[in-house]
Amino acid sequence: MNDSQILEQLSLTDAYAPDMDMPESAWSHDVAFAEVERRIGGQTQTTSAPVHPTPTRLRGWLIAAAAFAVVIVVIGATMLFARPSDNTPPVTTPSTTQAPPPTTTEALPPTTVAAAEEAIVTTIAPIVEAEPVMTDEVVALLDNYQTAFNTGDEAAFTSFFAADFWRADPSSVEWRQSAEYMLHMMTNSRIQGTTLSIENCTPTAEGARCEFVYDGAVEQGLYYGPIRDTVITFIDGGEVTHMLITEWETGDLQERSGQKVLDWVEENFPEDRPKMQIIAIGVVNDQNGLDPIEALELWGKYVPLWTEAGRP
Amino acid sequence: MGDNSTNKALLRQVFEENYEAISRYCHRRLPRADANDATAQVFAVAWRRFDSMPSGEQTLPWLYGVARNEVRTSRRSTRRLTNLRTKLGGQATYPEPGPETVVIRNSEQEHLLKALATLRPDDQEILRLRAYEHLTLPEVAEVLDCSVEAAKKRASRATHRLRQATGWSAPTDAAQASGAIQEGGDV
Repeated sequence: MNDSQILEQLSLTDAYAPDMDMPESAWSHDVAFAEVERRIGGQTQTTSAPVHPTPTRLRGWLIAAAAFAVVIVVIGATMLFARPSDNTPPVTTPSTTQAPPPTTTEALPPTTVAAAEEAIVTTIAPIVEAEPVMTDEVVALLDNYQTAFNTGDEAAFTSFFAADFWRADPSSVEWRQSAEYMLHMMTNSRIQGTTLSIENCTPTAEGARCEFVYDGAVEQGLYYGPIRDTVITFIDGGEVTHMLITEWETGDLQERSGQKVLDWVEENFPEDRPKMQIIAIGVVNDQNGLDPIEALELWGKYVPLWTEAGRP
Repeated sequence: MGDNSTNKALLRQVFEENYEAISRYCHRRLPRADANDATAQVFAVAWRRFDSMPSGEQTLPWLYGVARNEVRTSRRSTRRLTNLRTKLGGQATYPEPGPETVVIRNSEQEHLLKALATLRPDDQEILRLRAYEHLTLPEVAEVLDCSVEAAKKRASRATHRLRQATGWSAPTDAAQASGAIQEGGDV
């Protein structure tokens, strides 16, 4: 096998070759570009139409004001140039120096207004697009989402998500998470006593960027504080189409806290240790033949006790 | 540099033309949890270095060079990110790109991949750039930020080491000359 054949054989092992489908886990173009724009500090998003604050009246008023300003400037300039100056060289013909200002001024308005409108369109558009506002619809949706999460209302919670919803969580091994996963996480969070608080929201063209703060005895015990995810929520037609976790913070994370809890349970409550497994917050499965609900309840029970005992 | 809105339009164009190639590059080399992050960061860097980004056919190799740096940065920080979500301890394993990134059709390819994995990272990278990204040697030189001659030598050495790792014998000169792609011949 020669060198080119080696390379050819190697190229045949590529599952992401250009003529094959994109990796399933790859972000869509729109989601990826929205994230690029966030990183470069751009406020103008292109994935959906931004919300314009009182667009018609504001724009009309600005056009009128700008047109008026331009008229004043042009008239002033005309008068300035038309006025004989002391430093002006001697005129050669009377007709030049005595060009009648009224005629010139009367001819200006139509041309000036048209120019002003054209100028104002190009000036105003970026300003308006750069300032999406938090609509009542978005505020209500986020508020209801938080309520559904904290009350464990499964029907209400699942109703928020569009049919093709997925959440991107770059910090998780299971980074692309379905609505079913979200429901699973919400249910488990209820079991272990975690509550959600949506804070510090700012509008984006897609919906809103907020901090999703998960807190409870387990978080306080293991992480010395809440888990704080910064999430861009994409909202379209009253439904959440995507969630994109862009930053995450877990307070003073103690890497081995989980194992310490297990060791402590084994020492003090050996009958329950076999029912517990290493889990991630809000995520547990029955892979090891354990009852996930019971396991979560035990974590919710023992982490506070372990914390009270001084985190031995 | 042009005005901001013009550059953003150009960035969007560059993004649309190259996103899939860069995303594939990152997914081949990083756990999927990190690949999207690195891909987005490549274009964020492209924005910051807009003035130095070449145009035309040179754009993609240049972006691959940025991606290469981002992949290395991501690998350095992967353990920290893993720890963040592993949280409860005991699960901290360094994630590699999943098995779905390769297709093995026969034992020869399996043997080849195992041999590839034994090479130094720099050798692996240059071979992947040739085999997966299908780059010519001048393009490899752009990615590695070296001369074409240096890229040619490094590619040759990497292929030689891969062959050694496989245990496959070197072809005769005549057989080598009949290959579809000559090492250094497609520049």
